Amino acid sequence: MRKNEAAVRRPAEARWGYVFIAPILLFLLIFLVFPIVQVAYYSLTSWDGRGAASWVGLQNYVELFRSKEFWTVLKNNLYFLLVGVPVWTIFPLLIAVLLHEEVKGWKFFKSAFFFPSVLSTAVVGVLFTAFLNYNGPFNEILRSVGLDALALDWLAQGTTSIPAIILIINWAGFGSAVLIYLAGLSSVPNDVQESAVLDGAGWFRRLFYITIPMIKSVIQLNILLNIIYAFTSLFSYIFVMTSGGPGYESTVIEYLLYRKAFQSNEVGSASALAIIMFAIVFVISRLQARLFAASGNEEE
Amino acid sequence: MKSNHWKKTASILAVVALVVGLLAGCSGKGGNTSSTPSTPPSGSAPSESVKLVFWNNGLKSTDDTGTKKKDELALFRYVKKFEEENPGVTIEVVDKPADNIATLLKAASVSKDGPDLIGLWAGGATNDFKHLLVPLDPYLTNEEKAQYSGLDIAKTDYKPDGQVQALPYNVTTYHIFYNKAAFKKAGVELPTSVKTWDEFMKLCERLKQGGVTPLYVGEKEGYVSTWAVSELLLDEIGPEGILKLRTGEQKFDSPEFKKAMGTWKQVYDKKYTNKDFVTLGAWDSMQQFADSGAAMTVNGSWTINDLTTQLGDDLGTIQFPAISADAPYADYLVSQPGSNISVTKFSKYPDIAAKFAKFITSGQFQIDYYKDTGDIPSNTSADLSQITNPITKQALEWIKTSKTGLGFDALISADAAGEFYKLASAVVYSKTTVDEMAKSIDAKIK
Repeated sequence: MRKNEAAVRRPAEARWGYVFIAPILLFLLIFLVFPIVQVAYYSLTSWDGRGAASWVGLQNYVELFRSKEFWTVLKNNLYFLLVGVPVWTIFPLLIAVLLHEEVKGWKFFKSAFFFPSVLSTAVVGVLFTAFLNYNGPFNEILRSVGLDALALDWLAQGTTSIPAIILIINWAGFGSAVLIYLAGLSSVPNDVQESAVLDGAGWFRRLFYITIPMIKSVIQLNILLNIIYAFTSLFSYIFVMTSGGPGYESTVIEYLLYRKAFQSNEVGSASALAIIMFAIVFVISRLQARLFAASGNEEE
Repeated sequence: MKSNHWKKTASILAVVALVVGLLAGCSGKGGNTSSTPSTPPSGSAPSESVKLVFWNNGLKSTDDTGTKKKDELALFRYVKKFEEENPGVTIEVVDKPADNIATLLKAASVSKDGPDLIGLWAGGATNDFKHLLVPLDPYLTNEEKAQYSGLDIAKTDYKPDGQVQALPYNVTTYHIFYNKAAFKKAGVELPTSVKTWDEFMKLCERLKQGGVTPLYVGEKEGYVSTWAVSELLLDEIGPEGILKLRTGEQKFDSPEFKKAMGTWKQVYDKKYTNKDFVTLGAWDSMQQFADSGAAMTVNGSWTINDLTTQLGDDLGTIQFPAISADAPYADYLVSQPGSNISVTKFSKYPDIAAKFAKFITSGQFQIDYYKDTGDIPSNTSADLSQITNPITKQALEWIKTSKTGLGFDALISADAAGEFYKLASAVVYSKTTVDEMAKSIDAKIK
């Protein structure tokens, strides 16, 4: 009898469940799904942001793939991906492990590392633009220790400005990544670490064989966030520090998208870029998730 | 049982109310729904109070030197005067950044809710929005039109018979400014006799040999190259050729453009400039010029006041040298309105807005505005005898005595000009070639 009652109640509860999530579903449909579909549609049109859009099929994509600037900016994004993501993932991890082990002064460092996270990216960008200026403090330090040859105009070319921006982002986003790692590390049982110490395992052995495997899902989350960051959150740094220049040397997809949409009135082409960016991030995220799954993580 | 039923009904009603509220929130446009970009009603001023919103770009609204208070600046004095002369009318001046005002106007055109008046750079930056601007011809007599120098650039597609879509605040000229003290330090005579590019390069070499940086420039935005190449290209293809760049009849991928760009690039190849030119902005380079100890800088008439404040009597200026003495248009110089004011189709009161546009570009205003900035008045009814700055006087003399043409970036589309700005720093820094730059710009000409 009880079983029957539960069976009868479940569909009714499910219906009420749908009713209660309807507002948020509607919200997501209007503000997330609909704009994505709209962008996908505009990517197949020629539209200047005003008036009517005319259907051009895949022409925007073909023109983008044929243009030199697209491959230049994609190369720049891949640079951020291949160099930036490991830097943004590994450095905070090492620091988080040290903080978790409560090295001397860990409380101070925990606050100090988080401080840059509260600064706006524009402020950080302006700060480091002045710092890396040809006549700025960084080069003055180099000159004062006799390293005049290394005193460069750091933001004047992609080969130095992109690595510089990667390190600046690392500095600025360090605190948040460290906090995420610390949350993960707090779930690692102390007795496992203590047993390893008793068995004579050194710091690196414990790091690679105990700590990292046990917080794999947290590392995966950080990598995923960093991959997304490498494609979707560089705009303000590029805008403030290099304007994407000289030429397209430090331009990334986001910045090119902004130029096309808001300076060149090529909203159709900008939409195609957005879809390409979406596809790249999606594919890389899935590959990364599969990679983790294949190496024994149960997340997948 | 009945209680349960009512609870369910109440819950359903609550959810429905929430959804309806959400939908209502989404569909409501907010703001001034009556401001549409359709043709505005004409007629005299309404009896009720009128508020005009003016998006300002191009008119000085703060004094960075701190010499003048906000209400002492010509802009605000004349806004107040207009309000006093037109009871019931208030003008709200909203400063908009130069590099963002076009984006904001585009956004406004989508939401159909924009300002009554807008200040834009003259030329392409204004012409790109011709569909949003109210033609000002009905508000101007022929005599009034004739008072504005260079009004053709403010007409639809720059055609002499086009509709007037803006009124200029000023006329600009491009300059090579020099610091007399730096020349003295280098032991080099002042450049007053320099007329051609070859002479200019020899001068730079002598300054370099004298231990002084010949040119202090900032190419981050590509503006300095734009000014220099505008002058050099005008010498080669003349004012008609410059106009043809807009339609693509004259290509950037041409010997003339490549020669002009290549000629300008020489100052970088021969290391006659400051080392950080590629990451320094044009405005910053102007502000640092006096302290840099460099001999010369390239900028426009809009910086005359700032540079005079910095250098005083040590400031001098020469015209940009001709690309060669035998160039077909060697005696031309670039001179054009720098920025202008338009009435938009968003305005419900275009008559009053047009009246204000005329007021804020009147000869009387422009001569008072000159005292704030050193800008050269475009309105010939201005009392030019009040101009005392020797550099501004010199620029005025150039305009009176020379043949003039327009800068190419003011005419081509914002997209094509943007491509020039973007690639200029890469070309002068030898990160790309003039050939590639020319092809890229041509690809943006539509």
